[in-house]
Amino acid sequence: MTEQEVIELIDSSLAEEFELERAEMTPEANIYEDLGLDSLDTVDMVIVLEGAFKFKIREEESVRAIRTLGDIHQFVLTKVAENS
Amino acid sequence: MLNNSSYDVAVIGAGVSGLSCALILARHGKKVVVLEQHPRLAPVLRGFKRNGMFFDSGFHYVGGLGDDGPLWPLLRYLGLDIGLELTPFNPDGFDCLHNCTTGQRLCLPVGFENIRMQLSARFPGAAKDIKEYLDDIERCWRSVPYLDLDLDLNEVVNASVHGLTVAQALARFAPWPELQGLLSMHGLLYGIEPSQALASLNAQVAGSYYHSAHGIRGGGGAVVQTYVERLAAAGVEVRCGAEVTQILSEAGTVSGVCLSDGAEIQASEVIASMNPALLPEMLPAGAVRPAYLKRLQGLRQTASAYVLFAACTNPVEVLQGCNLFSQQGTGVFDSCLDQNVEERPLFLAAATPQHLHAGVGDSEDGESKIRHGVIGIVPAAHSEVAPFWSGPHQRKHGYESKKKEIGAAICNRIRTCCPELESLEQVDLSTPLTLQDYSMAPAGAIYGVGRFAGQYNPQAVTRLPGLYLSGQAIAAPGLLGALVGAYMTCGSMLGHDLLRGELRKWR
Ligand SMILES: Cc1cc2nc3c(=O)[nH]c(=O)nc-3n(C[C@H](O)[C@H](O)[C@H](O)COP(=O)(O)OP(=O)(O)OC[C@H]3O[C@@H](n4cnc5c(N)ncnc54)[C@H](O)[C@@H]3O)c2cc1C
Repeated sequence: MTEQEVIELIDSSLAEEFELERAEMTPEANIYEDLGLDSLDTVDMVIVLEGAFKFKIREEESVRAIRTLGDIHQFVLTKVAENS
Repeated sequence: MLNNSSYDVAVIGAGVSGLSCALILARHGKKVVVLEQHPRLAPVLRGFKRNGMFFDSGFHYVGGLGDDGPLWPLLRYLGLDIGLELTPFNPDGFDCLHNCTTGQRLCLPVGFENIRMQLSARFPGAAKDIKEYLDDIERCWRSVPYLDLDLDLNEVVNASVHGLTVAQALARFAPWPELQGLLSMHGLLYGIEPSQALASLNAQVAGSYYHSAHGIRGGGGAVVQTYVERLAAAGVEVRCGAEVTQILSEAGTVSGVCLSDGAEIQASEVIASMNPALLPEMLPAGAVRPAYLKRLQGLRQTASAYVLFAACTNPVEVLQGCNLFSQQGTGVFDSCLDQNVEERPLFLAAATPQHLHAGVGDSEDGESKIRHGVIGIVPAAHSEVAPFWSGPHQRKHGYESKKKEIGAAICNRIRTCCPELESLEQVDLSTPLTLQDYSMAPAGAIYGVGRFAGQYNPQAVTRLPGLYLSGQAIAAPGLLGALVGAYMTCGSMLGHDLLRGELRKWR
């Protein structure tokens, strides 16, 4: 998977599962303030990402540190690289 | 809308978790109604009488109630300890592993220290690992918010759902398959295969029994009676035969529920204590995100079972204050669902722990004869009886004879394994279809949604303001899990610091 494909899979999965507007999903968008997620959604986000990429997310600290969509991209890209 | 149909809180489901939530909230001045689909409250727990004997349906024994047991404050706070008479299980052997092939028995004494000593003496080569393994369980089994009332909630890091499985934790005991069996047999009490169950779940369930094991005189029936009295005293309204079909919302907040007969009940908050897999159907459209709906729909359920209710003419000494976990071979316990009923593991208990509830039945010559109840539980797949389902409490032709056939096979298995129970005769049998009718759990899951490795179970708080979940799925299985679940739910509503502070006074 290229970096672009990974980012596209993240964005399309999140858009569908959280009913987000693709136009608002810029890397700078704060997932809580701009995209309207809350702390309860975080677990669902982890599940969506695990399902889309078939990896296990154990890095609780890193997940908690996520603020922007770009942070999610970075987090997943790192994991995909580790797993390949 | 009638005034009397308006409540602070409506609780869906009158099991241990729903009823406990109702009592906790009533103590805090809330006007509560509990809605139960079954014609009678606590259908899973209440048990039944047959042929003059009382049989428990959803309770045999409980852990965590010995000296300093962490379950006490949870019971005392609700006045549930009053009138309940505990019957301690045999301290020298409360649960025994029974190898059906060799007839050998290996028993667990009560108390971590006793278990450590006994097992190290029996398996000297494994002594160091045994100590480490048991120390781990002793340290973590009660490290959850409402069992440890001093735990700093900010410090609670939920164990990863990708943690060690029971099978992995027991791999170190591979040279001692008997030991592996003994340490994994409590899997029958949470209904998940060792390869898929988290070691932390096993620690919680098995650990509570390692700590202490008690029956309750009168069993689940007595527990239900105590709840009924406390609910009446607290002014909680319980409506049976009231199946909730919809959770209602107004302006994005919960406003009540709708019943199958169309009646609407207004409530500012709703607690869903039934199996969370049933929730998606009840939710207002658009109330939660698709990701959450999918998660609920995908939750995996624990195993189902056949429960044999049987009677012996002789006293069942072997089950006095002690349960038997029987397996055909040795090694880590798994449910062997791909094999015949006779080959699967079996849990055996006396019908009412310790004080056998002796009934009077008529023998052929007209003389009364004392009979002693025995309960046997064998893992089962819903699919084995699914073809006989034709609706709630309705079965297709042939179901009764299928039940007789399965019951006879289980009876045979018991008689062969335990010659002491030679006089055993089937009284009745419940199947996955029965369990499904009584709890509404999909596929008749004994312990509802399980804590499977890799699965993120839902929490008490939901994204729909005013809607909370409770029950085994958000905490742990069993009576203990359902109680802890109730406190977790009410703590989310009332404030954990407040509720835990009050509980500390009841230690
Ligand atoms: C055979 C067996 C043996 C067991 N042995 C033990 C034991 O020895 N020790 C132990 O600690 N635990 C034991 N358990 C487990 C124990 O019984 C459960 O943990 C406990 O009863 C769960 O309580 P609960 O309130 O969470 O769930 P439930 O009791 O299942 O409560 C949920 C309630 O919701 C109702 N409901 C569902 N849908 C609706 C709806 N739409 N509208 C209204 N009501 C609805 C159901 O009818 C049900 O009454 C056993 C269970 C079984 C089945």
